[in-house]
Amino acid sequence: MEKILEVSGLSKIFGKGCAHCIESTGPGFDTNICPHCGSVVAAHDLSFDLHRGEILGIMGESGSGKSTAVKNLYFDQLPSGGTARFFDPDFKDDTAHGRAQWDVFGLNAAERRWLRNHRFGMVYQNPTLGLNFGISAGGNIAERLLMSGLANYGGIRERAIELLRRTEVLTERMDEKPGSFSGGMQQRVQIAKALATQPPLLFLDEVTTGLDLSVQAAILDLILEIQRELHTAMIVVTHDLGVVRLLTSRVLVMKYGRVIESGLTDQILEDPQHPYTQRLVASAL
Amino acid sequence: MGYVAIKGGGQAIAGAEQVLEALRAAEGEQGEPLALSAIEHQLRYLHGRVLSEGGLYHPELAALAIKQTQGDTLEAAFALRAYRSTRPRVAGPAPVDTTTMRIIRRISSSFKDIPGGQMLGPTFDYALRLMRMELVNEDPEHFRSIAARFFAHQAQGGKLDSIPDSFPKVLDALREEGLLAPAPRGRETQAFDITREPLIFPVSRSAALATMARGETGSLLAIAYSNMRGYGDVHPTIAEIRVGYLPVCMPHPHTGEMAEAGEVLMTECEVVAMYDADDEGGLPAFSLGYGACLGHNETKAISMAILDRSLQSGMKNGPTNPSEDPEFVLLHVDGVDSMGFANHYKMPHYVTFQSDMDRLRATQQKHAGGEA
Amino acid sequence: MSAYNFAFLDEYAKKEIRRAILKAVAIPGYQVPYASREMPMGRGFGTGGLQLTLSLIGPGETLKVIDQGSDDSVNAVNLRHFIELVCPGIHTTTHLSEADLIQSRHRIPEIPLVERQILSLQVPYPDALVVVEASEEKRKIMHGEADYSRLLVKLYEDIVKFDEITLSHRYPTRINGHYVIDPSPIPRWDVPKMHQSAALILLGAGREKKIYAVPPYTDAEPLAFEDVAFRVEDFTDKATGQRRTCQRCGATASFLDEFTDAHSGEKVYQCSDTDFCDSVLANPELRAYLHPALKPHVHTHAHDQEGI
Repeated sequence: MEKILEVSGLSKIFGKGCAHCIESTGPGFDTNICPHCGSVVAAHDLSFDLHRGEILGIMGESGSGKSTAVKNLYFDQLPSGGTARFFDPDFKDDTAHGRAQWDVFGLNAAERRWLRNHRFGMVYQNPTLGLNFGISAGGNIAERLLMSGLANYGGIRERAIELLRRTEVLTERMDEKPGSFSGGMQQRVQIAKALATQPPLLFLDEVTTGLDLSVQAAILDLILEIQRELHTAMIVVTHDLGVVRLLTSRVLVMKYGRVIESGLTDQILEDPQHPYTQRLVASAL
Repeated sequence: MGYVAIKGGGQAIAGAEQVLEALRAAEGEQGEPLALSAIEHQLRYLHGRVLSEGGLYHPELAALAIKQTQGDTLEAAFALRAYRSTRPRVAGPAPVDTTTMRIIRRISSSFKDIPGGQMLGPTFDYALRLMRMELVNEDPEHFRSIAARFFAHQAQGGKLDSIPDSFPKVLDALREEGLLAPAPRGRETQAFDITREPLIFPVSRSAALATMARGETGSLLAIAYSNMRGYGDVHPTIAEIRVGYLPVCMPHPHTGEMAEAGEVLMTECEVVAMYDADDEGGLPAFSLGYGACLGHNETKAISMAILDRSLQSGMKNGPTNPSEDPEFVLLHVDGVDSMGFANHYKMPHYVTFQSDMDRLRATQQKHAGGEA
Repeated sequence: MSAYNFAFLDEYAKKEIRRAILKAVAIPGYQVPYASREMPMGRGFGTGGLQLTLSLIGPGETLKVIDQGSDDSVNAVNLRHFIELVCPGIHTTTHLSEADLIQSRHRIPEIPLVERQILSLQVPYPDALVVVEASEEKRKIMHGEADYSRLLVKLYEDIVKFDEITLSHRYPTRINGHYVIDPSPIPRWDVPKMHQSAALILLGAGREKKIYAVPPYTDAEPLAFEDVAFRVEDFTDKATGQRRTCQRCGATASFLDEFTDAHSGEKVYQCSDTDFCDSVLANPELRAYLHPALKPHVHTHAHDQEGI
């Protein structure tokens, strides 16, 4: 399988940081707040690879730092340290324009925006972050298509309908604003919007948390279908073991900003090594 | 079907001028033309407002501006500002230290008493707002003797000599005690000239202050008030308000030495706000807001000081309300810009309206067609 | 009062404005900030266009000033009077062919301008993105990256709701393939005239303190979708199916003012461009004249009419 993403030593500290931050925080200290300077070590030394078409899970409880990786990769935040390399499967031979490979954390603002708008997709737990509630559902998708250069109204409309159908949103409602939709439907619109530019890499940050169980199940099924059809690589952030079991082939378990265990999902769920992971698995309903 | 006259614009404008003049002289036989000195002295606060919003310290022309615009403060400030824009820029002046101000009023709400004492001076703050009916038919002779009697009374008892010309700054005492934030790093060494450079955001603090110093009083007051009432959290205490005459020094055209060219009446307000944690790990300290304008206009100086503080907060942490947003505040407080645009709507807009009608008719037709 | 400098502005002000103009011409469609001076007429009354004119005009040159297409509109009269007052030695005219510099509010003349002429347009809102983003700082980034997707979405939503792009004037127009400008409140009818114009077109916003330009022979394309074309105003009388004509000169293809006759109470249609109207009155063979830039747009429209 070809590699699409390589993250190495990603770290994020909120606050001014001091020499003792790393050595005084983590699972061994039961905190991610540095007792010396009060800074929060959200993530430290996070490293992983992702391959084309693969779904990687990052699992942990709140405060574990599980969202940190995707927030930094999608440029909602800037990291304190570490590197990431993105290998774009659709521009493999485009070394002339430098689009084959990207040093993700070394880009300028315009480059970051380009990647974010054209090659990555993001679905947030909170739909107000991923959708513009001032325009229609179709308009949300149109915005992303327009950013990618599509200039045909009929074509935009068709593609939006196709995407909404794919994500099982009632196309009769495409001209309504997302505010009038149920939570589950808003998430589906978000997914449709994220997929509009056919990104090879998709981030999903707790996308089913807070939704009714039946709605969750349907959305998880949808995500699997999309992966099968489009070979989109995904990073799924969740605290829910059920989601991990259903979607992911590999998983990282995080606690207080550190990865405490990683490996194949099946193995980790069957035979967890770390006591914390064991407790998590045992407590799953 | 006839030929529709589309001429006459010039005549209409001339006619408008004549009507305005006739209204100005509506008193007819009983009328006396307003003396410029009467405007400058008997309408002191109106005059000061126009000086500061016009952005030109020319007491005579400010009075003329009020006279010719029949008291419209926005128009008067505009006339003065338009005149200013034709004046050449002269080298200097140097920044002035306001401790050299020849003071007529100086108070602090932060302390019961301050070095030099609380000098109430001319203020309406504690006056009872009752109509002074005795002024309806004021006796001119009595009026003319008021000033002489006041000064004669002041000279008695020898108190005049004991009043110093100037007073130390209240903030200096706070500074010595370490209660004020130290001067920020990367501080500007030259004031931004808003008459020569456009505002490009983010702007420097001096650009923001200069914009507000010429700002329209009501506009500044409204936005500052929103912050006071709860949309913001400046929670100010006035460290000092001083009103007086500030000497302006310029390099002498021949010798190059600094010489006093004159003095300007101005108002200055320093406000102490909530204390801020220091970024570099030092002790927390009070933060400051500063307001200053030409003429005697305390409402404006106070509003400006509060907005200075809220804008600094907004620049540092991101704006959480309009008073902290530099674009919102600085682009909407200039009276000349805002009144010009508000009034421009009265100009002919029939071509754009024709275009609007075309669109609406087309849309209505489409809808009607769709339903048919 | 002491005498004013020629053209009212001091030489430094003129220098700054000329430099801003050069920069604007060098970067077509880019809004150049400048320290706009206060003028003796109100902000909103054309101080931007005026500062352009005052910085450019010289003795011996000929000026035309129009508002809503008319030389006699109150604001045009006022501006022309002021410019004559402070620029001794210039000529003024109502005839377009005689003018070197044309200052205009809300209209571009019906007869194409030639290379020696300069058009100075008065602008209230320089930035086409102001309808979707209030912060100037953010808009600058969007312009720099040619990211107009939010503006295009607005057009999309219009078509969804009304089956039409409902923008009437201030139609966003892309210059030289990059910057999208607000062409000032000219009607859609006048936008095609900016495309490949022989004359330099300058746009001045006095209150907003920006100058921008459409240089000669530069592409100016109104934003549209491939399949939803840009449309100009339609002067067809719905009752008769005939294109309305000017009641005064008989022109059959000019932009018309619609108003009610003060005496008869009837609806009247007359050329908005009064100089053009005078020309047609004197030369009736010009009755069917249509600006070449408009030909594709008017024909397209006729096709649509047939399709209904």
